[in-house]
Amino acid sequence: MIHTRGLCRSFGGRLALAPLTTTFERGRVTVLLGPSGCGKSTLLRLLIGLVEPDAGSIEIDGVLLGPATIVALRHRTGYVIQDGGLFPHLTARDNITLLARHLRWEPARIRERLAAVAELARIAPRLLDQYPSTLSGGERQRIGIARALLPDPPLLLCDEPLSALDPITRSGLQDELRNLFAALGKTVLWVTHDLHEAAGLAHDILLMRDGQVVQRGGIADLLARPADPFVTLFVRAQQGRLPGEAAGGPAGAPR
Amino acid sequence: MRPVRGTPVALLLALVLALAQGVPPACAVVAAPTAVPAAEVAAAAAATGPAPARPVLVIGSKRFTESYILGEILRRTAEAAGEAQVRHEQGLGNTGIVQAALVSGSIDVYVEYSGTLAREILRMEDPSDAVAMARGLQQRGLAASRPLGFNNTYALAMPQALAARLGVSRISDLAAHPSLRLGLTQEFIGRADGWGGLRARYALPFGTPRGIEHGLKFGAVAAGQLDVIDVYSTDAAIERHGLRVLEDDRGYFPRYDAVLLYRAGLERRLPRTHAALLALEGRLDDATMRALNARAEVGGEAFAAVAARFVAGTIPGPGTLPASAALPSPGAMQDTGTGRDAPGSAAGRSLPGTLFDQDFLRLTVEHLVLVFASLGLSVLAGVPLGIWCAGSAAARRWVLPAVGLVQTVPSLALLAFLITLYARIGMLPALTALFLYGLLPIVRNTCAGLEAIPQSLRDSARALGLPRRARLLRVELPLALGAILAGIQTSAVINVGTATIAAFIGAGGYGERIATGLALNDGTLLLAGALPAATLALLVQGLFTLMEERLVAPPLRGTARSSGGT
Repeated sequence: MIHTRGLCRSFGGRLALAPLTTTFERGRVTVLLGPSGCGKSTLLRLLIGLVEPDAGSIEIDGVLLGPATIVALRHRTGYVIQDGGLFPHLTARDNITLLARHLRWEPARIRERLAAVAELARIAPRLLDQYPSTLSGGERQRIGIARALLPDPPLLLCDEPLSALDPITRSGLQDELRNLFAALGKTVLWVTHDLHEAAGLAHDILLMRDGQVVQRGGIADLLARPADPFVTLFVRAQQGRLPGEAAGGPAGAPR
Repeated sequence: MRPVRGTPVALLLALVLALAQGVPPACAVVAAPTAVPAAEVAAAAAATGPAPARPVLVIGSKRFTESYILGEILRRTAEAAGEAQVRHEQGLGNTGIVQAALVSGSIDVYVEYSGTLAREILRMEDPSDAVAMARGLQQRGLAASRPLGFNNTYALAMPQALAARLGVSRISDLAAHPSLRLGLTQEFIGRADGWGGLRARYALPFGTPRGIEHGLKFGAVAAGQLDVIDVYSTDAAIERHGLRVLEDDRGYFPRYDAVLLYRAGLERRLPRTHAALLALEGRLDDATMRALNARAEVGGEAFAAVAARFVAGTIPGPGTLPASAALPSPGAMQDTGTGRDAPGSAAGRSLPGTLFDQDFLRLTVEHLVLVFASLGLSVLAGVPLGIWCAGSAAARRWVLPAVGLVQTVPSLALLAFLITLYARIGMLPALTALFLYGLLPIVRNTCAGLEAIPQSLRDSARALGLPRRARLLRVELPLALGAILAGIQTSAVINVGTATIAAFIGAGGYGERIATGLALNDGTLLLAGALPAATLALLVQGLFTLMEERLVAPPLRGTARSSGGT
């Protein structure tokens, strides 16, 4: 469970995140949705300590995030970014096991855990000895996910992980990940600007604009009861790209 | 900032620079018997000289202190004769140029040295053959006076106090003190009439000593680093550092007596002036000339003023001058009154023979030690400094300009400073200088390599939960390794070239051959030093290419750097 209290941050006088007090429940997939620059990535980066808050606090599973706790909290958090964020000088295997090796796990434990996450992310064994530059975008993203899953963290932070992929790869990986999250019971915060991705993954959506949360709820709430003209605008703009699709919401939305 | 890569071009540049910086002051005086544009000299003389109302006497001089002073003495003496309008063309150049000026009539008279006259100008086999000399002069339309008195040849010298304590006043006395430390110039060691013959003539119990640059050895002997050095017998530094010149009691050193060399017919054209000039014969002894040189070099007096003192008869005696500073000033180093030209190349040996001479292995080992020991220090200091710069704008603002500034200091000046600092010569100041020169490429490339890492990768490493040190060691340094190695490679290749300078302060290496070759105008010897240095530079280049292949992750090798994108 994550609590934020009065969490805010601005960059160069521009408010990236207005004071936010909220809770993210354990075991749920929450999508942070909104256009570029709405503050969704900033919120994620605040939660992993890549950005310092101007004010406010973050508490994850009862631990207040701060300089003394950040490293331990990161070990309990998987962070996946666009294109995987893989280290080009390491093979896929070494990328996945980097943290475990740093923590000096037993080799047997590393091997066992590597096999487990490779299976979860459906990584073909032959890919493990390749360098990221020789892998496809989808393969790189699977490696990035496996790396995030290695320490079996209860929390996963995903910052537009599918944005760099082609539509087919993207749709397949999205389905896989939804099933994976459901099977593992992870708490997931997922950043995207794509309404369909949000609809396909989320238990809960935070629609954001200019650092503010405009509306929070399920996809049905956003469609049926827009809290703001912006919500209507944002939804319509993306629905309009798919003329054949009904306004009643894409199939496959959870629950 | 772009990472610097050591290229063959950089290598060549480094070598050329090293050679250019390494030209010893003595080189300015080395005779190059080239056919000199006499017309050019004449034109210059015509341009500056007014239309003669009275007959004109033009005096020439070479480009070093003693020659300037002598030229001024001739001018004052000739003026006093009241017969001709006198002009002094100062510091025309080396022997070749002054000769051409004399033969072409651009100048009428200058002071030459008997040894140079015999060997360089008249190309005589036996310098003492008076008949051959007279004939040679006549053929060229020249005439020479009898000696002015001083003999500016090589000599050995040691500190007065030490010499007095050991009771050494003659070179033969040295044989009884085999523990004395000798420091000789490369030229002296390499000359046919230098160290080898001297040691044999006096049966001296010393091995071949380290070569040291002329301008630096006085500082070393003053600092107590050396006991016996070779000097030019009228060197101002003898006075200045309180040295005793040892008597050449077995008459080993050839004579370089100063004589007037003038155009035949001067005695008819300007008889009174001619007589006045010849009256200088026998009037300038060694001590007087030393004192005059010291007036100009140490006392900072103008050449004309020094000459005026002599002509007025107030000749400064020895020992009246301010005594030693630790080192000659840079100006003095550039212009130590060497007073005689080198007689030319030591020997006509073949290049392969010279190249793989018996000292080849020793020089190679010394050169390798110089290059890699200093490089190791540069890496140990440079990589952390580069890491500091990459992480701190303040460090970048101060450290990079500071290490860059070191590069702009000429190597001999830096060596002179370091010798003063350490009060010693040899490896320590040489390694320090090379270490300082090697810093910039390493610091800059380390910093640039780290800064080039995409922010997304830094973030990934932080988000993974790697602490600062682990991020640096497991992610950032491996990613920057290609750039860092390229910086180290650049330093190494530059070091190979710069290390040739070390020979000037007795640290050995291939520079010994280059320094000696330059001092003697011996192209073969110079090549025998430059070629192994260039080869070593290429080998170092290759070594680093191999290292890159072994150490850098395959996707990051070469210049194509990928951050994982397709």
